[in-house]
Amino acid sequence: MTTFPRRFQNQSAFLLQHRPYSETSLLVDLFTEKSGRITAIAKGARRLKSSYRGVLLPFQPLSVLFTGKGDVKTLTGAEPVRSRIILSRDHLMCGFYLNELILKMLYRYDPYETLYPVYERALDELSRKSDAEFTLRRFEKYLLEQVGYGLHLQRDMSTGLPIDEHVVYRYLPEVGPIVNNSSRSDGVLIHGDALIALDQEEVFTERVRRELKQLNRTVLATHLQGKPLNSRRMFAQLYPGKDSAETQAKHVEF
Amino acid sequence: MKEGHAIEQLRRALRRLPGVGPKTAQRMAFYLLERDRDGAGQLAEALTEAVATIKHCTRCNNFSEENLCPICTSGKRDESLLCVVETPADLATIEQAGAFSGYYLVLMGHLSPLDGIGPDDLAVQHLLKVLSDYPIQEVILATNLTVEGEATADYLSDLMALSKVQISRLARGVPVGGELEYMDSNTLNQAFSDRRAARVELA
Repeated sequence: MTTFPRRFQNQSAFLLQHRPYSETSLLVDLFTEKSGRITAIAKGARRLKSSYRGVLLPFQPLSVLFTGKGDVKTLTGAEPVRSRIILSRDHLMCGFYLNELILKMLYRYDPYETLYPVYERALDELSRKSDAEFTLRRFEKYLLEQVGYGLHLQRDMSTGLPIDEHVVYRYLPEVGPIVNNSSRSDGVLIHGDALIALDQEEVFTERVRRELKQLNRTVLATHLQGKPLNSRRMFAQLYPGKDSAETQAKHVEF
Repeated sequence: MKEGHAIEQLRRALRRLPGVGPKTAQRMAFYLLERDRDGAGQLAEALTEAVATIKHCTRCNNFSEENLCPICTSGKRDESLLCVVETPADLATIEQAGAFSGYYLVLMGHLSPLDGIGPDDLAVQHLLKVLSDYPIQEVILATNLTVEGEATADYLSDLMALSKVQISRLARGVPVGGELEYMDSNTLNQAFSDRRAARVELA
């Protein structure tokens, strides 16, 4: 249990989502470096002359200050620390997807200090039009680890042996990978080399890419408890050709 | 205190308005009942009439009492220009400024991936139909310069990439009367990357 001082220190943050609140304010969800995911009111943020204008934007590295005891804090300052991370088209959708994962998977007011730099790095990679799937899979890996559902990528959970790159495993979301010789039909079939590639963060081949997508999707779905991921569905809608697995698997989760 | 059904219903109806919570709804309800019963009657009538008569203009998708709104029937507009905006409020602002003399298309919102508002919730099909029905040469994407507005503009320009129309986006940069000292860094960065030539060619 971490106790926070009433008035928090200035800290790095990103805006995840904002909604209008009362006449001129915004209700914002922030991912902060030290306090994790928080919700705060940015008073007057929608006024023409507000200092938050052009600042409280998604993907803008911020330094924020907030105060308050309750569930909803009051933002008392937000300044850009460097220029906005510019994302466009499908990479922008991936950015929204990261934000949605944070909103739906992280507990509010739990600090996730090691995830914060991973998020920032993921956004930087996406802005350089990186291999988006590699970036997303790695982010999902760290996110799962941080919320206590880390993937098992190094050992066969039934035998304890190290993962063999040539063996096909059956990955059970609650257990981990087991050699695929049982009569089970649940979980995800995945080659050892895919598990190793995600563990070692090596370049993905096409097959590895497909298998890891299926793996992470299945494991995330287990922990999302039926909450749909809107940004993923929209990605499939906006860029249908871009990612066929995205559309095919849709009915599995939604 | 137990209250009548009618008051409860009124409060619930008022809460549908954006930014109106239970407290505000109660204040509004009591105000109308206590101090302004005439006004309440007028409000009720105006609402009933508006809901019954106002529909979407078949050309620009803005709110209109007729099939075609006054702008689309004026006949004095430039048919080769189409300005795509998010909301009727955006259209009204552009009209007030007198900045634009072509036709409009109102999307009625923007893409919002986290809320699940996708292209099917906007007038995207309507836009494509207008593009094929009218002799449009340039589409100006005047969605907001927010991340969601940009996402919407990106999506629309990809969608129209195969058509022959010219596609443009509103310029962004230093506002008129703006002093650089007080500019936010994002705007300033954009202003530099979108800078324009200023050399005057002498004859």
